[in-house]
Amino acid sequence: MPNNSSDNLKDPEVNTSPFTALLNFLCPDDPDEANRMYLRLQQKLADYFRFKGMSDPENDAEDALERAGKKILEGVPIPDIDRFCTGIARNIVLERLRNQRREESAFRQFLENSQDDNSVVDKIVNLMKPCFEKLPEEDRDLLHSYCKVPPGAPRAEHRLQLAEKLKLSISALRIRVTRLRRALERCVKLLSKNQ
Amino acid sequence: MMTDERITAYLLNELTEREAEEFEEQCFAQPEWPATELESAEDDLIEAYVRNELTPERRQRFEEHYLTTVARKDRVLLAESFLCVACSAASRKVTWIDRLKTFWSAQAAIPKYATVALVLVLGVVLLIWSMSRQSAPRTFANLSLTIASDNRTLNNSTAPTPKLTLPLGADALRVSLKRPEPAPEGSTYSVQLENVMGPLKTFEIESQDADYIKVVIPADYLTPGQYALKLLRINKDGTKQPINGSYFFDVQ
Repeated sequence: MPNNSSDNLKDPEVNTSPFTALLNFLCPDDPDEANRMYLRLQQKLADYFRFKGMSDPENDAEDALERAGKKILEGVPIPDIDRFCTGIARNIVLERLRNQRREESAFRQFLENSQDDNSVVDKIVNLMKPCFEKLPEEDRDLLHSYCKVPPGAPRAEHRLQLAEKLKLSISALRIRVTRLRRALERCVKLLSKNQ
Repeated sequence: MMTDERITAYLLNELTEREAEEFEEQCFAQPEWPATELESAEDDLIEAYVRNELTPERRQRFEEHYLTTVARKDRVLLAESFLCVACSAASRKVTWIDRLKTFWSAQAAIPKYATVALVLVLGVVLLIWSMSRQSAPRTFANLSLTIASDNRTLNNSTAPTPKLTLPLGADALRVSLKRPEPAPEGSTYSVQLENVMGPLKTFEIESQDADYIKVVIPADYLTPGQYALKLLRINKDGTKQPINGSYFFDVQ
């Protein structure tokens, strides 16, 4: 991310950069608030790119903000910055899909050393098991119960019963499970670097 | 409204371009990106794919429209691994069957017969109790639905989907499904309740007349989300014929 010190807003030369143009646009009277709004927007964009399955969401978010700043410098009218950035982000996704590059992450390289999907899953399972064992017993039991749907039983009903048993709402149950799953995935990716 | 069904439809490219844009704009308009809701629904979709629970159409759409990037393919592999690890490796708890087996093996021959008798009596009592609990619902909320094509268009127009608000205030929902076709003589129907993850349960119909087929859905089956009812015609000769289209409704 570019240097977003509030001093930049006062420097006429730096003011010509897309970054400062965007900061000025976001909140011309309050540099600190402009910084906060910038960071919020950046985070939302990174989350959007992650949701779209992009391999480098943070970089894509910077790209989107850079483009937005350039448009501001060009004098393009922007009534709603969120909507405007959504449009830019959408274009970036389309570009990325058109020019799909091989992902260079350690995790991808680790996967590519395997010959087929089954052996890939086996390798991931071997990494995930120790990650799973490190979780507190309560969390392990929760994940186990959550995914162990009795044969023939509707999944929604199973979750409803589990949520009732744990005295949680369905959405609270799902949030807990989603967070635990992301933690497991982070652990697997970390371990894959050493393989 | 950010429902699982809408998120899934977005991920599978089932929304129109305008609807997809609106969806994205709604996400951006929130103070923070709704990551948890999106990820939960995405996890469920991937899990349904891995477990082979998607309909053939959705499975195809998943492969064509969702599995378009390396990161998403990785998510599927991770989900598959997660199911292997979490569903099988967790510490196995002693179940009541295990306890019963232990108890049984510890009994001498004669008390075993007494135990059998006791278990049988208890079984009958439990059966009666269970049947009384599952007795027919007494109060009903009513809903009338017309069939729509599977992309939710109704007579080529996008009529609003009927909405129910929880709590239902009744033991069950009685749904009157307007017939899409005259009933062939001697035929009857069953009705399948589906949500975003696929089929939930198949219900026998309560009654049918020249215009409507009625089905009763216990309130316990309804949680907030989007639902579809699908008709299956059972012909006189016992053959089964799925009826094209669905009856959609939302619960909030």
